Amino acid sequence: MTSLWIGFREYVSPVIATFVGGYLFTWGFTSLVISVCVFSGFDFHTAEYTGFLLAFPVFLLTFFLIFLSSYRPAAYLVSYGGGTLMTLCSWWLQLLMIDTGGI
Amino acid sequence: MEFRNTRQGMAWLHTWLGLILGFVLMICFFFGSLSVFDREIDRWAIPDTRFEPQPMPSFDDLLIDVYERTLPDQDEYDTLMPLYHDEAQGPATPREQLPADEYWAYTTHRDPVLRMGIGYRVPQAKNPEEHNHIHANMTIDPRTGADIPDEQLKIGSDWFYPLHYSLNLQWKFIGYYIVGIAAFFMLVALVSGIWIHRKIFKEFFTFRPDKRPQRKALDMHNMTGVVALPFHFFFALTGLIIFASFFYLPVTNTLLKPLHELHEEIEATTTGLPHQRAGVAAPMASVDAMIVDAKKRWDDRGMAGEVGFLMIHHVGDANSYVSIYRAGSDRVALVGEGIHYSAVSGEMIYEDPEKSFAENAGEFLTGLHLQHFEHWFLRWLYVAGGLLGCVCIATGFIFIVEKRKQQHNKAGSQDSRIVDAFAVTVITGMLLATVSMLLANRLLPIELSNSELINSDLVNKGTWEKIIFCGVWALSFLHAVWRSAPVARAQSNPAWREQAFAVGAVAALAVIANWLTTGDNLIKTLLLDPYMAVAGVDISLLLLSGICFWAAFQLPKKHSENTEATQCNQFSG
Repeated sequence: MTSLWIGFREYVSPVIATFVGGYLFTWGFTSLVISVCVFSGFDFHTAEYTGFLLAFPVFLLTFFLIFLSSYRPAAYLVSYGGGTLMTLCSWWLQLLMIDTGGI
Repeated sequence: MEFRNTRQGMAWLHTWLGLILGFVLMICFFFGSLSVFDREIDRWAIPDTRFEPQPMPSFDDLLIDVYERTLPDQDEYDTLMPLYHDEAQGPATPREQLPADEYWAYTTHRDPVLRMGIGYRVPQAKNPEEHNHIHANMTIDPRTGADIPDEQLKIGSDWFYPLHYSLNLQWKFIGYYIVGIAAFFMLVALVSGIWIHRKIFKEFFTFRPDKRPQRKALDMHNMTGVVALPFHFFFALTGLIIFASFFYLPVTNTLLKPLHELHEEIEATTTGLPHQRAGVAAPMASVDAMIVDAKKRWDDRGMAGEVGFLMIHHVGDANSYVSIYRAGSDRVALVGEGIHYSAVSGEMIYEDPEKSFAENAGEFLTGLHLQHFEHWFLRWLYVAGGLLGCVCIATGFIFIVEKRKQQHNKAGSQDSRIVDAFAVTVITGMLLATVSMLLANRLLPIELSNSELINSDLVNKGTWEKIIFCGVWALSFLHAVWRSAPVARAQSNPAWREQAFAVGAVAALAVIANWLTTGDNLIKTLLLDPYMAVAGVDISLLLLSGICFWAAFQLPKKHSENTEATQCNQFSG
């Protein structure tokens, strides 16, 4: 049991944490790209396609940057924090557009 | 987890993620390759549908009758009606009286049969603003309007095809998520693979068949990985993009849903296409006349073509409209150039404008993945690319097992046995399940589907085919585990050889069974009365049979212990 736990802690949990961090960052990035594009006057579907086309290359890059980072806690902070911040920004932009009807 | 350098970290990722998710990726690549010819496999599996592809039939004379005689799916009604219906407003509308809200029909240049569907609305819904639809899906012979019973499983398009993107695990869409995670880590494995193989150009030309199995497997892994690298990267990426908005990054259906809905309402006012029903009943004008007009408009734009997709929204309502999309068989992008008509007056309301760069890029990429275009040579190249992916993954497994079993033999460990058994299961076991399903399809009597005496799924021919597929695959795993003892002694698992023989035999028997049960042998389907869909499946089965017999004879009956020193371990942790 102990060796299983050590194996999980040493090998599996960093991959999961990196994956989740990369995903959260990508989620925030994609939602922000879409809302910023719509806010800037682009058609909603154009914004959606732009977000999805950029999303997975960004996810891949983020995953490698976190995983290969020499100081992983900082990489976690940037990815988790950045993802959350971008998500909140896109939510705020959405509220702004709906309130003003500016879409 | 600390790595000495980036390359070591990349090697760790490549080895372990490839080993764990390679089993899923093998399924995706193999059944993705078969899906290139899913319609042709359907023709092989349902002999009644072995006729030439047909254009979209008349809506006014034929399709409307099919829509009007069809009822909502019983299972879906039983499952969804209690979720959608608001008991406080009265009793639930009986299944036979649910009103239709949308009709659709879809065909391609490879389809003799026509797929159709109906979305029924729930009159007293708990959330009237939601999309409360209960569906009916049907397939017909477009020449007569006769139903093709769903019990006759479309093995290509309804089993192999969804297997490659959902593993046919529908519970909570778990299969989609497993495949999505595997596809993402496929991208990770490709990038890390390039990183760790510095001499990528040299490795492309390196194959040493006279070396030990471990070295041969690594050479083959590198060669197939490099030769189809853009193909593998592209398919994993576009697979993720296709399902992004539904499953993998549903940003616009969750976080940005209010913005999405606002956009739809604004779009409805600018395009003139009603977002909601008016609630006033109205008759339908001639849809055939709209199709004639749409074809003329496409012709005027220099892109004459047939109808690929037809949809009628808000059926029977004053706000009803008809959307007609051109079949995209001459282009990479999917169906498009939609023209929309009022279903009541028949007048054109809106023509889809030129798309933006991002939309065009997205449709081009997804179109390349879904390949609705008419180009047979390219279609075969897709199959080759997919099978190269299978070879790449399979040789990766073999390399790992060959390398580890030497080490585990010295350490007295049994760990290699389970990896080897899984490798047997997803390589020869998967092939055996596939050909067994096809053989069962030809041997099981059609009466199983038509039985009116016992109305049970257990007498459904398609259900039995699925049971045989899963059962054979499970048995292949048990067989591989049972025969894996020699692996712990650094010898070869005899299950490889035995299952290769079984695949060869069953594949050949499937061709013979097709001949005996339908009269369609290769002389007939190639020369006397050519029908390439069936001939192609038969030839592929015979090729598979030959390759498996050849491989079975190549594999040693009893592999002696390999005492050579392990030399190819620089890429594994």
